[in-house]
Amino acid sequence: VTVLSELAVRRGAERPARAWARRIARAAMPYLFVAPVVAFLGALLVYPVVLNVVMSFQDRSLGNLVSGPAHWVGTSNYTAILRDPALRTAALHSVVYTAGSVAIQFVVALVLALFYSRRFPGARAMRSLFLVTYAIPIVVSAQVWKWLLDGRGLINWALDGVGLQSQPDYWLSDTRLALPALIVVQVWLGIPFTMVNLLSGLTAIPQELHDAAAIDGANAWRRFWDVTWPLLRPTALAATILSVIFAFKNFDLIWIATKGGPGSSTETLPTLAYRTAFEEFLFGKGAAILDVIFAACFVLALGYILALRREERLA
Amino acid sequence: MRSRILAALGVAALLAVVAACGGGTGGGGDGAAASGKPSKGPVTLTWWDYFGYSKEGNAAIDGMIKAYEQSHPNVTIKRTSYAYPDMWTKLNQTIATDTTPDIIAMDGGQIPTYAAQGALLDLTKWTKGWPVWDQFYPQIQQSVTLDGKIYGVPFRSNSVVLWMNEDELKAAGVSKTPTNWDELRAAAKKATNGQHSGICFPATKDTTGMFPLLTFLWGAGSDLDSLGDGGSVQALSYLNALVNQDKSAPKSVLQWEWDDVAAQFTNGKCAMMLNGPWEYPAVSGSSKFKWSAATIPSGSAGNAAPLGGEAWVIGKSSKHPADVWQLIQWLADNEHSFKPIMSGLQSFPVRKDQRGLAGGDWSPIVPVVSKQVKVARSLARYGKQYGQIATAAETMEQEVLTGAKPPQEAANEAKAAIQPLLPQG
Repeated sequence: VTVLSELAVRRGAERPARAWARRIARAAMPYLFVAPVVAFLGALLVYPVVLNVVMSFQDRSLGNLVSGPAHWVGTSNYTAILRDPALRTAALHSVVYTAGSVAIQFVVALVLALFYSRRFPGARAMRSLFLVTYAIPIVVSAQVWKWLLDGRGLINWALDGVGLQSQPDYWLSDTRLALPALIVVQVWLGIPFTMVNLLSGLTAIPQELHDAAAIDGANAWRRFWDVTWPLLRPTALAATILSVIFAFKNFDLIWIATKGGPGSSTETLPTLAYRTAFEEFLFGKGAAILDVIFAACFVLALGYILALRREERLA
Repeated sequence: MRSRILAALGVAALLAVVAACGGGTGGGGDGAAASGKPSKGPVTLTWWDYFGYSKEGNAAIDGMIKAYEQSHPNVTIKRTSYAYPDMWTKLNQTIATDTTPDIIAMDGGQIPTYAAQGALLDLTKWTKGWPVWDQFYPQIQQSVTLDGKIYGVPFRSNSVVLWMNEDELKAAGVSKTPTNWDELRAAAKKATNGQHSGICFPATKDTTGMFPLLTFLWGAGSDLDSLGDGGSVQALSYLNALVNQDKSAPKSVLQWEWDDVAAQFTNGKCAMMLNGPWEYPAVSGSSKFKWSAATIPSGSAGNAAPLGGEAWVIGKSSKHPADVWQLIQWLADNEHSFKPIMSGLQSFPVRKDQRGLAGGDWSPIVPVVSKQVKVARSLARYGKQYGQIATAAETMEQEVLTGAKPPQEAANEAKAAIQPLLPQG
C-alpha cells in the first residue's frame, strides 16, 4: 500500500513539473524563432551604431579605429561640428536637397501613377519599364548623369539644338546650378519607387467607389479629391517618408557627380561625414556627423512606422 | 536601396564585422620577424598597387614579381591591383582591422598621412647603412620622410607638363611654344573656338586638383603657408582669367580628373593640357594628331610643379617584414627594375646611379619631363594633415573659378583654415 501510494504521490508531483516544462517551452518557442533575427540585427545594426556613438566621444585614428586604446575627448567632437560653419552649410543643403527632390518627385510620380492606373494597351509594360531606372546601381546612373550634365554633355547639346541656350551651362561647375541639377537627378532616381508605391495604393481603391461618385455627379477633380486622395493618403505618407530617408542619406550620387563641389555648393551631411572620416581621417568628428544623420533618419523611420500602423488600421 | 544606408556607416559596419570575425589578430609584426632574417621556409607575401590602369604597367609589375619568385623559390607573391581611389578605401579597412598587405606601392603624397596613422613600418633601421639610400635625390628622400623617420623606398617619379596638340595650335596661328604665363594665356585664348578649348587641367575638389593649383601658386611665388599674399591672388586671378574671362578653359575642369582631361585632349577637345607622363600610353595610343610636350610655362617666380611618384612601403600588420625588406632591396636593384619601371610605369630616375642607364629613354617626352622633375617639389612638406589642407585649398580654387568669391577673399579664408594644419616649425 505504501509503495502504491508513494507512486501515486510521485506521479502527482511529476505531472505539474512536466506541465511547467511544457509551458516554459511553449512560451520560449517564439523567442527562439526570433533569436536569429535579433542576433543578426544586433551584429550588423546595433553593434556598429553603438560603436559609432562611442567613437564620436573619442579621438580615433586609422591605427586604433577598431581596437586599441583611444583618448576620450568628451563632447568636443560635437562642439567642434556645431561650431563648424561647414556643418551648417551641409545641413542646409541636405534639407533643401531632400525637400526639393521629394516634393517634385511626389507630384510627378502621382501624375504618372494616376495615368498608368488606367487600363490601356501597353500600360503594364510601360509601368514595368519605369522600374528599370530603379534597378540600375546609383554609381552607374550617377556617372552617366555626370556626363550628361557636363558642359559638353548631351543636355547642353540638346538645349543648344532647340535654341534654348546661347552659352553652355556648366550644370555641375556652377555654384548656383549644381544643387538644383543634382535635385533633378535625385527626382529621376526617386520617381519609379514613389510611382510603384502610389500605384499599389491606387489599385487597392475599389472601383465601385469611383462608380458611385460618378453616378452622384462628381466630376474628375471631385472624384480624385474626395475619393482617391483620402484613401491614398496613408500610402502617400509612407512613400514620402521613405523617399525623404533615401534622399537625405544619398551619398553615392553627390560624391560621384561633384564630391560636394564646386566650392561647397553641393556638400551635404553624408558627403561631409565621409570626407571628414575617410579623407581627413578625423574618425571621431566624422562619427559625430554620422550620429546627427542617424538621429534624423531614426526620427523619420519612427514616423514611417507610425504611418504604416495607421495605414493598416484604416485597411 | 535599403542596403545603401549611408555608405560610410556601411563601411563602419563592415569594419566591425571583419574585426569581430578576425578576433585577436592584434599585435602584428611579431617579435620574431621584426628583428629577424628572411625566412628559409615558404613565405607568402601580399602585394598591392594601382598600376593595372595600363597594359604596360601591369606587364612591368607582373614581370618583376615573376623574376623575384624564380630567384626566391620559397617566396610566393599575391598581387592585387586596384583602381586608384578604391585602393585607399580597401587599405583603410585593412589598417583598421590590422590585416594590411605586406608591401604596398604607395603614392608619395599619401605617405605622411598613413605614416602618421601608424599604418606603415618605420624603415629607418634598414635604410641606415644601406648604400643605395644615399643615391636617392634629396627631394625624393624627403618625400618618404616624416619627423626624421623613413617610411618608404621610392621607385617612381614624375611631374606635370604642358601637352600640346600641334595641329590645333598651328591652325589657331600659335607658332611658338608658350614659355611664360602671358604666352600661355594668349595661346590658349587663340586656340579656343566652338570645337575645342584652349587649355584643360583638373581642378577637382581632391588631391588631383592640387597638382595644377600648386603649380600656379608656386609659379607666382606663393605657397600654402602664405595664402592671401600677392602671389596667391595673382595665381588665382590667372586661373580665373583662363576659365571665366577668356573662357579658354571649360568650367568642366572642376569635375575632370587626370583621365577625363587626357580623354578630352586625345579627342581634340582641348588644344593644350596640364597632365603627367602617366597619360603617355593613352595619348600616344589613340590621338590622331601631332602632339608634343613642354615644361610648364614660367610665372613671375619661375617654373615649378609638384613631384609625383610612388615608394614601396611595408604595412604595419606584415608578419614577414624581413622578407619584404629583402624584396624591396631586390626591387631597388637597377638590374631588376630600372627598365620595367621607367617604360612600364612612365617613370623618371629617382637616384643618381640611374642617370644615363639604358632604358630610361622610353618616349620622346622623356627629356621634357626629366627637366620638370628636376625642379619638382615634394608634397611631404605639408605633413600628415595634407588631406584636410587639400580640401581647404581646393575649396578656395573652386570658389574663385565659380565666381562665388573674389581671389583675395577666398585666399584669406583658406589661409585661416590651412595655417593650423601645417606642420609647425
